Amino acid sequence: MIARVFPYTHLRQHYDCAPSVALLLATMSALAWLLLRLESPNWRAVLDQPTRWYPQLANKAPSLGDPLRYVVQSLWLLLVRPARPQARTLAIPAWLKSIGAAYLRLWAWIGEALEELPRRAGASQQIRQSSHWWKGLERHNQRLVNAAIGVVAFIFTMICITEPFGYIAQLVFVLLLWGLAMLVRRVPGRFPTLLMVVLSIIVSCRYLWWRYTSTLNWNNPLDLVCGMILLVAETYSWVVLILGYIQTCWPLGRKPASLPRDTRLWPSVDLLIPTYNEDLSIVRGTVYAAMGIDWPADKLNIYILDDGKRESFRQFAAEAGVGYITRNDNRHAKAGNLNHALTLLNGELVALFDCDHIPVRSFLQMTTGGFLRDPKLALVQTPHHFLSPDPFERNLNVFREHPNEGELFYGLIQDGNDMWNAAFFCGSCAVLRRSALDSIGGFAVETVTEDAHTALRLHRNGWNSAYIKLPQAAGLATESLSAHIGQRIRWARGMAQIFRTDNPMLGKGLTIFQRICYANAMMHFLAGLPRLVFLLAPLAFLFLHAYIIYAPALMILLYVLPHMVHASLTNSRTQGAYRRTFWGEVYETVLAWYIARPTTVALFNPSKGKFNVTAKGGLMEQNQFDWKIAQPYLLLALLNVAGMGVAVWRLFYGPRDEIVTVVVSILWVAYNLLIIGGAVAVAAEVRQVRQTHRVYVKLPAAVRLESGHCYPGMLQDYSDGGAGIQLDTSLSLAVGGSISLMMHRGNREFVFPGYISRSHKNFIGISFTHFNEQQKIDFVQCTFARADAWLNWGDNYTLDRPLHSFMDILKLGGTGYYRLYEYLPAWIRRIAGPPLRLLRWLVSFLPRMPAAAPIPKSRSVSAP
Amino acid sequence: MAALPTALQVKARVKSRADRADDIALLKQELELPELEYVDISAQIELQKALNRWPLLEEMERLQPAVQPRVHQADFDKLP
Amino acid sequence: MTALSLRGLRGGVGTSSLLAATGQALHRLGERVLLVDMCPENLLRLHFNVDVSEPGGWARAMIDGVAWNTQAWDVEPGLSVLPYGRLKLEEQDQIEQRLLSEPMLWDRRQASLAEHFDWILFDVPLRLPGHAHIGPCALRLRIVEADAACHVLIQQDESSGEHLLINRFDPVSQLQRDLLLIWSKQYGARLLPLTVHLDEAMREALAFKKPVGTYAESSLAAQDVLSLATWCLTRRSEAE
Repeated sequence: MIARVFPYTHLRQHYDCAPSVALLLATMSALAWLLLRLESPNWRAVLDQPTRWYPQLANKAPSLGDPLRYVVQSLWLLLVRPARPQARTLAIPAWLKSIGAAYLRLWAWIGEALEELPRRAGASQQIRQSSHWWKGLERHNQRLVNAAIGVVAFIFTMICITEPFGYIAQLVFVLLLWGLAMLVRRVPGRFPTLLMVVLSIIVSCRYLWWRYTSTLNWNNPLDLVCGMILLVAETYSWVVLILGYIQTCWPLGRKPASLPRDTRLWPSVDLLIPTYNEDLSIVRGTVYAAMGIDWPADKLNIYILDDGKRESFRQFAAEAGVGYITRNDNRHAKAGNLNHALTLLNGELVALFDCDHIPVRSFLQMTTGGFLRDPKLALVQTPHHFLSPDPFERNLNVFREHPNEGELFYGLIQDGNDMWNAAFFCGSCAVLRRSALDSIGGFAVETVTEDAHTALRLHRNGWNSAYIKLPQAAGLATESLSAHIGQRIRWARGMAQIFRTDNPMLGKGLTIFQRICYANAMMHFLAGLPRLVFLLAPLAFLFLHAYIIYAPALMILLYVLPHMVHASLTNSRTQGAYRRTFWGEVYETVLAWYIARPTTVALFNPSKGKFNVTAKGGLMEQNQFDWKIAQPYLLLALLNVAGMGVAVWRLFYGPRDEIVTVVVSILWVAYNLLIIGGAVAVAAEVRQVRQTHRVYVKLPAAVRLESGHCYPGMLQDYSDGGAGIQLDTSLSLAVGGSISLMMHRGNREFVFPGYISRSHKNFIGISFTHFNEQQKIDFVQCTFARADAWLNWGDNYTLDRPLHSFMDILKLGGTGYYRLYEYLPAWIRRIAGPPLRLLRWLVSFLPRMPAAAPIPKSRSVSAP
Repeated sequence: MAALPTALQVKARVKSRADRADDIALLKQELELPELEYVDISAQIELQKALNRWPLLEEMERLQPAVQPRVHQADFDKLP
Repeated sequence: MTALSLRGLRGGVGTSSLLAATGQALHRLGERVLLVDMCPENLLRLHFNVDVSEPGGWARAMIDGVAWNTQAWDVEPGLSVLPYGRLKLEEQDQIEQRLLSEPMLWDRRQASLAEHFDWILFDVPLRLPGHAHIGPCALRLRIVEADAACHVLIQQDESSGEHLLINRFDPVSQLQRDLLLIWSKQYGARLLPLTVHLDEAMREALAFKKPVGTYAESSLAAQDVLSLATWCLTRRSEAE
């Protein structure tokens, strides 16, 4: 519209505007040209790229409100600039850079000095003398000295934590600590991390102490009860936070140990693949990959443990040349299956894979080295990697853009556990020592999470465990949200059972740190009730007028905000590569309702509490909203919306001096609503297009056509029965013609004959339909079972930025409610339609952020 | 004559396809353990099968054993 | 200036096509290249669109008493080809005797060409020992195909200082895959870490009178040859 001075005819003809509207818009346009001199180069630079600078107006049909939109967007452009990361680095002046470099050098020096300390201490004369003196003391005196030091440290800590501050003092204290945290948060190294952990602990301890001492209203029973409930939930969070810091402050980062050169010295391994009711096509890939593991053939025995006693499996095992074991009953599910198989086998090591976990060929050589070096090593665990999106990633469309839910555990927590020799067994992708298993009587069958329980028993009996943070197998994630929740309920129940029957904090055989790590793992599953409390807490004030936090609103902010800010800064630093900040809230909210009851029941009565969510199996035929699963979220959302309504009412009609409290409550309720909105968004299931899962990859490959011509390219994706390749040149090939795919693995080359399923410019889709047995094995070896198949999964992850993450969560919440709206019955939509349209119209006036880089005029060619 | 890529671009692109697809080399790179000793047993087995499959090759091998057949030979993985 | 020679282990392994393609690839990487055909079959020039009926060449010039260095063709600035020439059998024997008696002839010729070219590529024939005296040669490649005959011939061959390059590699063939594996183990660094694949484009290129990198730039053979050229450049910089 701006392109022409007086676009009256253009508007009438191209957009069919009403004459008056067109006249008005044309007049405004002419005025703009006249007064603002739109032909000047500054204006031209902006107006020549409408899609970049005026994104909401570029492709829109002109309407009456457009002049206002232009004005608002132009004003916005005056205030902001698009983020240009490259430009920013160029603009830093040299003196600032040198200060930054000096700062980093200072920290590097500090880090080195601290690492030198033990050596220097060992060499120092004075320290040797004092340690000599210490050893010379009697036990009794030693204990006295220890106690004295402990008391002094305790007093000092308590003073730090319990000293009450007034407003100003608290503000200054908070700003100082926050400043310190911001200074070190980007400095690499372990010691800045420890510093941030210490700061966060101080702030959080102060917060909790203040809550316990100054914020409970003992006069009013209602206030007291509500306050205590919230306080218990907050104490739970605090305990989990502190234990989490201890657990993950020093990830071990263990590297694989090398095996002896002589392969005759390598141990014998029984590789077990338990299965019950899964499809043969899934198990096939796992078996082929297992057959290709680089291990001497006489020392590797593969067995399918079939609890379903199916003939097709037996036949397949016979054809492939692997073992097949069944049993008469199905007691104790998987653990019983494994225990039965162990009675028939006698390999030195046992490797376990779930039937859909495909191992890569280097699995055994990467994991078994430790067993030969440490005779007390009983377990080596590797990550469970998923090659398909889990419900969160699929429904929120964030697959491979940022870390998924399981990466925190397998990327950081187990690594931290490994530091304290507390890495535990996860049921699959692991190797165990047979003699260790025998010494504890086989796999534990008393609880439903037999894997963690087995590991606990191993640790109690003095065995060691190890974790190697290298994805060496990949499997399928849960198919739907209901399946996911069902799985988590089972784990939660099992962990609560273990907590109750074999409590890691009690009993002998564990070091203090192992106890902490196990306890934290179990407490993680008790998060259901506290999360529900947090989601409903502000409603206690709004509905019941109960002062859950009996303190002035300003003081609350001064104590709560630092606690939250430090926790999220520190967690962003330690966990940012494995989980985006604030996404944990969404994950927890999704599960909170469902794991609250089983865990509580299991804590009281470990054998009771069967609470199963029937999982929807099979392909998701179309997009649908899982109403059944989403009921709790909708209930919580409704309660919070009602609370919001009451809050607005209180704002106008409540007592004057409570306004600030009401505003704080409103903010809290809004935050809760958005988190719940995130959970609702996950319940909107996205349909699954295909049965087999595609893995996206970048591998060099080539194709050969029937004519004998060969073309190189990059493999873009592969799946069980097909592949997609991007050639360097564009060939128009007939669909259905034969084509062969040539791939390397190691230093060998393989050819796979197939048919052209798609041909679009440079991209060719190939489908493989008739492989013989050897070709199927080779294909799995070239794709799923490559040693480097899962190594660069996270190459596209961006850096974790808490504020951006927060904005993402807010947007997610909004998306959730919008999706919910889309699935509502028509009559509701008719009622809610007009207000929403009004809202959308109002929102269209808001300015948009311009794009960072110039958008190319023509659309780039992309393969389907 | 089509527009030629600059010499530098072309050089970067043509690192041999086999090098870019060597999964064990990439694994060692990812682990930052270039001296990690990996025994490519599947290649060893295939080599053994190759020698047994073709009589001429078998005979040549007997006359001039350049390939040690036993699987636990020391430095198989030291292939250049 | 670096000299590179390609010689087949037995006839018909595609040496000339490979040499032409390598020369063109090196030129594409920015080098000045001269290709010299030492084979009496005189096929190298056909890859660069020289007329079939053209009889000229360095051997022809030596027989006729004309200057040998006037017989080269400039394909592009920095890429030239020097054909052998059309000779009868007795004339070929004459040249052979002449080269046997003057083994330093091509030494001197290489020296005189040194400032004009970065690479001189020689297509060396199989059974003419005189024609094999091409002067100092930094890189000598023996072109083989992965078949049983070559397996025996490599063992029998006495010149073990030469590198081996597999041409027309077809990964569909079990025998070829097996031989590649055995040779990797047996010959170690002598065997080049890359192979040139069997690609119809290579054969078609000669029919088109072009090197494969010009005829089918996006074919696998062209990419393999480009890798070979890069390998040559790497060896040269290592030797310096």
